[in-house]
Amino acid sequence: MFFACIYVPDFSVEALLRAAPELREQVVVVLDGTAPMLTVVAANAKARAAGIEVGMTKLQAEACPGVRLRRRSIVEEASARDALLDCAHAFSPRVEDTNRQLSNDDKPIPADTIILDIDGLDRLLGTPRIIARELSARVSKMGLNVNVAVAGNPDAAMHAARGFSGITVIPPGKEVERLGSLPVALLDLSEEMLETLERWGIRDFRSLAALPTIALSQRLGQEGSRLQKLARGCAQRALVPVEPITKFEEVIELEDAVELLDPLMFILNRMLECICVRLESRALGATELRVGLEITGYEDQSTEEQEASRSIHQRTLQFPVPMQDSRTFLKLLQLELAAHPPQGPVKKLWLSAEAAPPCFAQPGLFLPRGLAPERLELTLARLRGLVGDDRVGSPELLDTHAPDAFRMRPFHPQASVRKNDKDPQEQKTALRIFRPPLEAKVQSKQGVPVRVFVKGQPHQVTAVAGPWRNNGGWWTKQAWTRDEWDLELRSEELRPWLVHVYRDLSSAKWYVESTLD
Amino acid sequence: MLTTAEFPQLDNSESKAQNPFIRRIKHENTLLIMTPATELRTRLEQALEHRIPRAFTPIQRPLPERILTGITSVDALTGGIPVGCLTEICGPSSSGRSSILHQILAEFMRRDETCALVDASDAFDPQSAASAGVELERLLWVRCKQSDDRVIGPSGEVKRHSAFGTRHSAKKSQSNSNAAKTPLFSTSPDDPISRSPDCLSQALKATDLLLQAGGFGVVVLDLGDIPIAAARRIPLTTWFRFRRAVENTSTAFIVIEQHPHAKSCATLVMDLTAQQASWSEASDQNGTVIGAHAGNPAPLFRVTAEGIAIPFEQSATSSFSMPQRWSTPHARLLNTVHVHLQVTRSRNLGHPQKFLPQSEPSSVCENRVNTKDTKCTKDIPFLM
Repeated sequence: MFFACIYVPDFSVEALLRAAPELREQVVVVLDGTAPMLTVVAANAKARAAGIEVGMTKLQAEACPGVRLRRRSIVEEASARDALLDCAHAFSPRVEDTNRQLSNDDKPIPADTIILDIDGLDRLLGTPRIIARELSARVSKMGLNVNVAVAGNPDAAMHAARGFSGITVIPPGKEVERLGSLPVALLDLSEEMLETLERWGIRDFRSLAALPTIALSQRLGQEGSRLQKLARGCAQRALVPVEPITKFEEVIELEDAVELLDPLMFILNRMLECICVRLESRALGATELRVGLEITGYEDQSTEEQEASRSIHQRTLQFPVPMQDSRTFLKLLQLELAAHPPQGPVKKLWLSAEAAPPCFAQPGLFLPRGLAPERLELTLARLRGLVGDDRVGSPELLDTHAPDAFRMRPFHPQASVRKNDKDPQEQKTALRIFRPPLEAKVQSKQGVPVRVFVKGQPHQVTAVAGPWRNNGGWWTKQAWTRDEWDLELRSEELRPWLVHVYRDLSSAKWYVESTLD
Repeated sequence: MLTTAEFPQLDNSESKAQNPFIRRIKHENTLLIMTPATELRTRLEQALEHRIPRAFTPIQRPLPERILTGITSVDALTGGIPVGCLTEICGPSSSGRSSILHQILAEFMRRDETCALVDASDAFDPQSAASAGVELERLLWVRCKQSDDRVIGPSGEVKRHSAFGTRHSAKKSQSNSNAAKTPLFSTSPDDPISRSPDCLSQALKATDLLLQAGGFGVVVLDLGDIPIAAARRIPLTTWFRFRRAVENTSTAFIVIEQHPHAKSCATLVMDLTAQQASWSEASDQNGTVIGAHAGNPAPLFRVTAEGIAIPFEQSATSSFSMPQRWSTPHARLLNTVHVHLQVTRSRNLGHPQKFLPQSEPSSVCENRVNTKDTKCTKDIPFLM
């Protein structure tokens, strides 16, 4: 049985760098605590090389030239942890979130260690080293630098990942030999126990493993025996698997509010890429994308005004089929936010995707090729931006006798289920509707229209049919009652103009509703 | 072909005269001058075959696939709607343009195609389209914003411009916030399209997007109520771009308008004219109106010129069992609208007579192959 462990060194820094990869080449320090007692809780390799250590105060860290100080972001760490778990679930269904516990101040400890059961994966991917390499590559794709170790039991894999950088594979039976050089501080020790071992001169795993078991147990009790098993790499325990995450969410808190759309899209692009990599690793697609923007006041406003203008701007995009393409999502988001922009600077962004398995539909051999869903969605979004949200779609007739009764619904073409059984030899005259109807003046003779003025132009009535009373909806505010006529009009030219007019009985006005065409 | 590198370096004129290479060139030039043009072309094409195949032979464009409209008379004249080409259906108001369009949409949907309609004046009637057999759920309807420039009447002239309407629509387009800030298409004051009505500009942009996206069986641009003067301002390059976008695709592009504007970009131009409308009165030889309920062909009542309804012998359950007074217009119905169709342009009109039914004379349409401008006429009745 093999277990793999993924460990993210300096998890707080990595979570920040995942959201802001341009900082990766700089000296980055993460601070935590309440001002003015801010202390360094994590630093990247460049910062450590520059002499910054965990526990320094903010003032001490600022002494380093070119250092970038960032506040610890719990939400970004949670996003990174979810990404890590997604990545592990892409390889195995048995994944343990090893750091899932709470600290004293109810703040979650950085979930920097994930252990997964890779037993049986050799038939799919290859040797344990290949599996470890695949894991490392997949996590790197998500923007995290990790150590990966493979061993015969979860604890040995965890200690190897925490102790050795890069990829480590420990063959069965070689645990003592390979783990021997690790410091005992890597074991989960209490301060008192660590002090005792230090006093005995036990500083690494090898020294602890070499102690006689019975004598150690007599002096340190069951805890001593457990520690020795861990140091020997032979401790066996069952994994505590976690459920796969069904909510794909990315959150970014900005230090400075963003006021323009282009930089906002730049940030959203990163978040989309992260979500798409996570979706791809789980072989899922997004059917719905929700973007939330926390809006604050402008910098020149007072604190009270900024608090008053604080609001949440949310937009939702729905797709007819699950999609994975981050570029399509970005373009759709851009069009959506361009049509409905936030009313102020954005301080915090969150993006969540509703995941679903992708649809694989095999079109018929003799059917016309359908529209590509991604391209169709982009086209529809562009059309909506051009003419308006409610003016693009498919018409749906309403079950009413009200004139011109229809509503627009989203355009999701489906394969035809019913065939037209209409007689192709019979042609029906179509109408062209005037929206809104044209007001007209009508001269009548014995109640029958004889002359119609439309927008000041006179038209002679040469044929008339009607009236037909049409009323309804009297129980609602949208009641209608009118007399309808079909008229054949002629003006200067000889060609007939066939129109459908009506007289609104409530206002006694005449309107031209449509023309027969 | 010989290149300068192939010429040998000559030292003096004497050696030039005796050089066998030069002599061969002179001989070949003499032969070329004496050769007829066709043979010369053949020889040159053979010489260039390895670089430019068939350099001087025009590319034979295959005949486009045609989809029948479902109207026998129209199919007899046109052979159907060409796929991958631009088709113009022109005519004034009440000339049957929308009726033919609905038939075409229904026919394409019968072939499981998805259709798109760009409605410049928001005049599409879903009810009549559905009754014509159009599956509305597979129709993408783009309703461009209102403009007061809409044509009123059959003459095709703008009767009145409303300053408020124009300003209102401009305000609306501005309020569409960032669409105005970051336009999808660059427009300048000199651009004819940007000087056109707002709805026309939107319609052209929407059509461009749909044609570029592809995948639709038919894309319809309805400019039927756009004034002729405004539609004429659409630059020819726009029509060329549209034609180029649908070329070699399985999309048919149809434009509904009052006058043809696409010129040589159109493969098929149909010109429609309303002839006459036949009302139910006209169907009776004795000057009486005979009415019937839908689905029941038996006459239920008649109306004389005096306006008295005299019911026929009906069963006691009939609603017309008692004599009743009718005013004539009540009982009158619009039966049929006759439309005159003229094909004013058709590239590679195939063999239309094969679509004609046995009862119709084939002399109505001239069968011309590879004609540039063909004029064929036909009357089409549209039932109410």
